[in-house]
Amino acid sequence: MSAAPTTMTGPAPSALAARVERLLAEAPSPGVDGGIPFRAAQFEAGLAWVSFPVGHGGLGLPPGHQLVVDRLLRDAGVEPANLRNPIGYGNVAPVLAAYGTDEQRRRYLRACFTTEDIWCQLMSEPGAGSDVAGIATTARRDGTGWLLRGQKVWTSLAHVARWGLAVVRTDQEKPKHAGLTCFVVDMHAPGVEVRPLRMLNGKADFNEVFLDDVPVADDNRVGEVGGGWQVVRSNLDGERAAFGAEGDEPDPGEDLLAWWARACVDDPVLTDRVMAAVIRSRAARLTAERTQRGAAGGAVHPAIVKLLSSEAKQHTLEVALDAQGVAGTLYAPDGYALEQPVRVGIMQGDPAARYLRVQALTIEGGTSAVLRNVLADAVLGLPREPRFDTGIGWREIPRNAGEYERKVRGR
Amino acid sequence: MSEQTMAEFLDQATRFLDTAAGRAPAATSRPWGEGPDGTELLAEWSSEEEARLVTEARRFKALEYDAGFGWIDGPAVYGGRGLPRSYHDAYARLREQFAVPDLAVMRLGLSMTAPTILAHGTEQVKRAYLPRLHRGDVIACQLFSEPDAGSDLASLRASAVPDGDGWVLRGQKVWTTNAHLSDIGEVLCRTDPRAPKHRGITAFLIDMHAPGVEVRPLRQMTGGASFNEVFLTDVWVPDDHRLGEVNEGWQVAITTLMNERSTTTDIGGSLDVILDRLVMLARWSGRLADPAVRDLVSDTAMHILAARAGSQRAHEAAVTGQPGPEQSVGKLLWTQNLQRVSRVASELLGPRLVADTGEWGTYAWAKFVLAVPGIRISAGTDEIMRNILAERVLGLPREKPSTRNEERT
Amino acid sequence: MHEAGPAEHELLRQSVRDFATNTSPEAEVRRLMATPHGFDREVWSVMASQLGLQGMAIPERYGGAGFGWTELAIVFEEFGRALLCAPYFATVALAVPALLASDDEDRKQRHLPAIASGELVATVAWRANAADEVTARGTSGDGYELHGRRSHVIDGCIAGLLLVPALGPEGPGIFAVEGGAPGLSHETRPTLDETRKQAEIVFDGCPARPLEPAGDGAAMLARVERLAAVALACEQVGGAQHCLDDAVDYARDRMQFGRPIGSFQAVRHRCADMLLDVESARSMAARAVELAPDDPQFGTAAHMAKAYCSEAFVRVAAANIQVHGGIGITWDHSAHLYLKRAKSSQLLFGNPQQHRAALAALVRSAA
Repeated sequence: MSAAPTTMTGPAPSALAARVERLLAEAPSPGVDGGIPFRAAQFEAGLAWVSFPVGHGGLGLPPGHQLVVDRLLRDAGVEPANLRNPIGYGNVAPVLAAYGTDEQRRRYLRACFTTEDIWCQLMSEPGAGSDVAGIATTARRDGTGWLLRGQKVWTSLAHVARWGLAVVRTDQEKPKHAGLTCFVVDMHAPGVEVRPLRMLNGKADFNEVFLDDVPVADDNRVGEVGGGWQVVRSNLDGERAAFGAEGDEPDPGEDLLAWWARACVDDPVLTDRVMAAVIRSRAARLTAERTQRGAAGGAVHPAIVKLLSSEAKQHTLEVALDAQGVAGTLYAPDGYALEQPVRVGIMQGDPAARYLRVQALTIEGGTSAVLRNVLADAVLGLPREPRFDTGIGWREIPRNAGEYERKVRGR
Repeated sequence: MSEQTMAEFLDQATRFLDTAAGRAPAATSRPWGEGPDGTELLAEWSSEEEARLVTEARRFKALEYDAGFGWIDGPAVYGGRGLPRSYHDAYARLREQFAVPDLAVMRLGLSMTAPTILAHGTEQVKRAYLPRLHRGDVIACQLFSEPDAGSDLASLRASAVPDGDGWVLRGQKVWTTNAHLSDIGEVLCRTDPRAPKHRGITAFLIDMHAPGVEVRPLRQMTGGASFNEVFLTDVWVPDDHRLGEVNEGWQVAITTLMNERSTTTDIGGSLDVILDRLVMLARWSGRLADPAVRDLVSDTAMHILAARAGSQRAHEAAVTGQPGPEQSVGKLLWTQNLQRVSRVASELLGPRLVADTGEWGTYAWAKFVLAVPGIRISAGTDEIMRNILAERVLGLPREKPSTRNEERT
Repeated sequence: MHEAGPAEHELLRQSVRDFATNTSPEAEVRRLMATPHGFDREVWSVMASQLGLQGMAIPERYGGAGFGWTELAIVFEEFGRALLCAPYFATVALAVPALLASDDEDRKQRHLPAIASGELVATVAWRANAADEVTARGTSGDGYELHGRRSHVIDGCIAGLLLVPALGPEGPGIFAVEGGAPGLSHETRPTLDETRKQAEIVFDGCPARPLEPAGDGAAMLARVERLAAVALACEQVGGAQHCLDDAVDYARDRMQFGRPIGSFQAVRHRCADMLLDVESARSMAARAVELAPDDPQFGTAAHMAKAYCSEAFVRVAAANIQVHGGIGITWDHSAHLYLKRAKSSQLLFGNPQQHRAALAALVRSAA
């Protein structure tokens, strides 16, 4: 089962590097105007997503080449594109590139990349989390367009988003996977209501989005009617691959080690716990790098990366909090004041804040249980579990009616 | 026999035990380096040692029974003394203070087979075996598992076919402890292959010396052979040796299995001895001054004590009612503690666990470490235990969901 | 030194795997582990003459193939997967690095070609316990004599050359002792893992020669210990991979409750966890191999790899038994052989806690 190392094909990276150098030399400074003019230039130069078609921010190159561009830009001090508009950049743009019409790409990709338009993703629902294909938000025909009705949840950045990529049900009689369709939703349209969803750390990284007969034109449909599941699938893969990736956040393991050295810890029990956590973090990071950078050992399935990374981070951030002793019982500096950050990340705040935030890491982006099932099927080829929701229409599938959520939220 | 007061009873018991066994030296007075250093979880004796153990066990049990202490809470009509359970418990605690021979070979017969016979056997069988089991004249084994029926015991295939006023049994059983020493065996057989699997099983008591019964040792990873395979080839059993009704053997099996879990979790006793040894090992290693080692050892001790407290509660519940799924918690905690002890012993011994340097109390732990995986599998795997806990104790839904038309509880 | 590319590595892996499959099927492992010396001389010769495995990372001028640790890692992984019974670890991961770490041209000329050709089996009599002190006293002329004992010498009974870390008049050194020298006695110890033999060796005035530079033993030994750790980590990855494959194969086939046990989520998740352990252990071992033997970060990587891969292999080997249920604990099934190898290699050459402490010391001294 050992995989062959990845290799890159296509034009030599040095030609690409030259293009990046030219961009850095000729484009407006990245520090000006929130970086928007620089990114516009980057888009025109085809360096936004090098694997996209020419004219839509790309050069038609294999995806691995993006690493060259990103590395050079980062070394030059340019803020990574995925920071301010992570969903737009990482999830939506690839979907539009693969399944969108030319008109949609023309209309949306540029402003997505420059971050003039922030994007959110309208996928999960209270009754459809791990079972995302079970969603109930509907789209019904209304003249030449559609009307969307339902409720989405766990929507990051909905409070600042201009557009949302939504997955909705267009057919309730077909088996669940076959009745889904994707749309681009104008977050400023009538009928869209965004409410913050507060997490255990006091912050509202996420939102609920209520859609009350929101009108959507048919030219904002992405892909075929009933073709929504494919879009969701590719979206999920991208989401998982993003975990464990070298972002701009410090790695919790390296961070803990640095703390340990500075703090001159002489407690051997704590030292052992710290070293064990550091080592576990390192193992997760090295495994992530095998896929992203072709490091020794060969590429692995994204679910492996996500599982190792999320679980190592939880372990490490717990050790980091425990190491604070009684000081860890304080929740400084601003306590649980409600905040809606526009940057998503887990390494913000003090050890207590990070520890709390990271509890969600084994749930968001695919729960650890679901991802283990994915590995069992896709990598290990183990026999599948009996299913009770296939081969029957979506309407027939036993479901909750939402009483539990209503009880919790006091509605 | 008239009921004595507890004080009189214990007085009498003490006098008996003084004569028959003599006081045991206090457990803590055994210094490092003296006596056998084994910490085995599975008994592995040479045949000479084994024969000697069985003889001594039988000798003592006979004395004990004849003195009226062999079956304290059993019905008098079947050879018991007819006293309340509290007397049995009091005697058991008292007996721990005496140098009683190792009675492990009798344990299964006394705690599992005998209660099963009492609950489900014919008058004939009760009278024939209950006194003899408690007197140590008869040793019993359990013939349940098969190579293709482990966790899924109910899918067993050994068959029993009516023949005159009895049955003919045929099949293969596995994981049978002490089959080679046993006189009788409790066996589960399929008597109706067309019924749903749980409803086509019948239980019997067979004579292990009958023609057609063949016992073969099964070697395990510790190197020893605590278990056997038993082949049944056309073994004839009279109908009065049937336990319970025809095709209702699964109920009989449940009775036996519930008692099994309570024997494997005589946790208080065995884990305490092991913990003691572990602490001695830690001292001997000279590393108890190391805070990391202290932390490890005390963490392990804490978990063992927690398990003991739990087992105490479960035992009290069992005494008043029937032993039940609560025992599953005990077994899981037990296996987890065995794993912890393994880890600590490995940590303390390092290379000495890996090769026998001849030093007392070191390589002996290797046998312990190697027995732990087996304990996590036998008498209900850890996974099955978790399922039982989830379903029977926590009331979580079973794996198959109800259909739309069924009531959801 | 030669550099091989991915295609050649694949070829090497396949050749070694085929070799292990042919010469070390389970029946052979069981046969050899029951013998006192634990290996087959014929197979050892063929290993050298046909595949050049003993000399893989020995420089060409000493009769080797001149490759490096990237290639050795492949061999150790495959041998770990097959539990191949041979003094390969002792000779190639202990003795050869000790010789190469020294400046002693004379010793290198004398021993390395014989190792590469398969004629010489060698080992390092490492100090497993604080009590195992060995001192070297000067004798008349240039000679030395060793006094003391070592309790856990890998393949100590069959080694033609023993390299012994000992405290000499110039300071700590590594001393070469010929097998069968006067004053040398050895006794095979029963081991938990019978596929790897250990001896207790007593030195009672045996003649010995220090590896140059004399007195520089600490540095040489540190290097050997780190490379030994990496070699074990690679073996552990191979063994763990075998256990994962074994568990998955069984889970696919074994039926209970009317369906394969691999369709129960508890079992699927246990297998998925084994996969996580295998892949992350592979990452750690690969990283340490990448940095071996001279990178400034190598020490750190070696400690991490040994700590991590040891624990991963033990978990996976135990999980494999658990997936197999009853048959997994029987003598006849191979699962216990891997558990024993996992547990032993976890505890040899520093247990995980010791490696974590060593890591802490390295970080502290660098800060």
